[in-house]
Amino acid sequence: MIPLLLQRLVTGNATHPSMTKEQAARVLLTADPFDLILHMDQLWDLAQPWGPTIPAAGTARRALAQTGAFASYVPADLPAWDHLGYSYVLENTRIVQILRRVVHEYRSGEGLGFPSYETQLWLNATEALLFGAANPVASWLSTSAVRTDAEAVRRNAYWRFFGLDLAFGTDDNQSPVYDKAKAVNTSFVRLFEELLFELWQAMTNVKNVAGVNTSDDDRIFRIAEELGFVLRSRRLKSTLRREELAAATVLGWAELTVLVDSPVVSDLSATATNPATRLQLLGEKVGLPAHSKNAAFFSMAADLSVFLYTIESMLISSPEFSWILYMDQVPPGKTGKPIGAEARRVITEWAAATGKDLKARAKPVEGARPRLTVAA
Amino acid sequence: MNEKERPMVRSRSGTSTTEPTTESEIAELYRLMVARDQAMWDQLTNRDSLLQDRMLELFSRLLDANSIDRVLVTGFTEISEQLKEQMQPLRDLSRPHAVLNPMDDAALASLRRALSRPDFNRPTPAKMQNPGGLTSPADRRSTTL
Repeated sequence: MIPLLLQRLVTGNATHPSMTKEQAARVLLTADPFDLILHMDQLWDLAQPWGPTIPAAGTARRALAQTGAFASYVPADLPAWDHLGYSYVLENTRIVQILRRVVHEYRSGEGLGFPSYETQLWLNATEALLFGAANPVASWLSTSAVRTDAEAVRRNAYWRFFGLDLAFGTDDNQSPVYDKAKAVNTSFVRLFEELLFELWQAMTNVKNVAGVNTSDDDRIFRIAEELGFVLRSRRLKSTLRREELAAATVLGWAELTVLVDSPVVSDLSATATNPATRLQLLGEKVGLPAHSKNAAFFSMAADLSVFLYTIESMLISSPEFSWILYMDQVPPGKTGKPIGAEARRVITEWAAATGKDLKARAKPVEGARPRLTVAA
Repeated sequence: MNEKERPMVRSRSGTSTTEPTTESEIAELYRLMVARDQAMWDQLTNRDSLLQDRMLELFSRLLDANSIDRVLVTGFTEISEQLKEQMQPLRDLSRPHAVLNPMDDAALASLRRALSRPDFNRPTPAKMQNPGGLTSPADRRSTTL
């Protein structure tokens, strides 16, 4: 949600002119958390999770949301927030736990020094958006007395959606405790990695006009279709959408914190040229190392969001449309850009993060004729 | 017509002789000409083959290849050419690409617009100034303090 709002600030609208991305980042990083939560409410209402006949917000809530600083920045296109896959890969960098320690250190002592005014504004927003500080309006943070730990709620969503847990335990390196549902997409990883392999084969043959062409549009279509079915099966009746919005807000805010040399990054002398190094330096300051492959996670997060939403959209309705997943050029007379560049980024970074070579088949197909058993 | 009245023609050996007039003589002459052409063709073919062999041998010496290699290469080249011709219809099994219908095309374009975001790997040039719009609380404070 946060990076998409950032883009809308950069673009501007009828009442607010455009601005540079650095200025937009500054506006968000020093914003009142209440304004951000009201905008979050707007997006939830706009998405119509329960259909057009059941409003997601009542009259009072809708009127209050209109008073927020970002009320005029409602998106013209949906989805209004990133896919849960975006949140999953970003959370694997351990950024939320590192920011928790930063907030804890600042709020409980002077070990990190005195925070600047801008950093204090950032602390207010981080406590409200990430760690459940009270607000005049209960936001859609998906926590309550029934499920108090926001990280456990996200782990539960990741488990149900992808059949995956995070790459680390709790803040103090204990095994995480969260509700493990029985309905889980255990086939996600297998289908996802098989699809990436087939897409790589197709990409290498896009300009092949003479040799044997190993791209298989039919197989790409079938795997993409199956993957779409699997992902959508966890979204029946808008299940997990609320958790997805909450996770996208939390991880979007965390990403923005290290996407630029934000006030807190500057205060902690963690300035760098890329988010991975900034997070690594922040982790060193608070004694919690970031994931060693966090550069790959940061690099693929946004592209994975585009990739998974495209799969779920079921635009690949037959083998003739498999090219959308591996081509780059927009066909003449059309406006929808294929997602080949995003798929390529996901292939490279997923391989780097997991250590699996997605560009080669793990086990070659057996071509030899089976041996006949000869009686003695 | 007696022997003296028959026209003189030049024989194969270059000596003058009389022109054949009977059918048997014409047939004999035709057989001789065909035999001569055939002999010439055989001679040319043999020479061409001999030259080709010598050329191959020269290349083989240059490449340090033996006669078995030559046989294998010749065989494989023929087989590969043959296979290429036979497999041509099956070279590309993928189906032709189809463009999206207007509704799906609009949906894909909308999805791309919705998920677009700024790229912070490339900083904005310093010459670009704030054109106005929203200001952060920090900015507002800096103007009032």
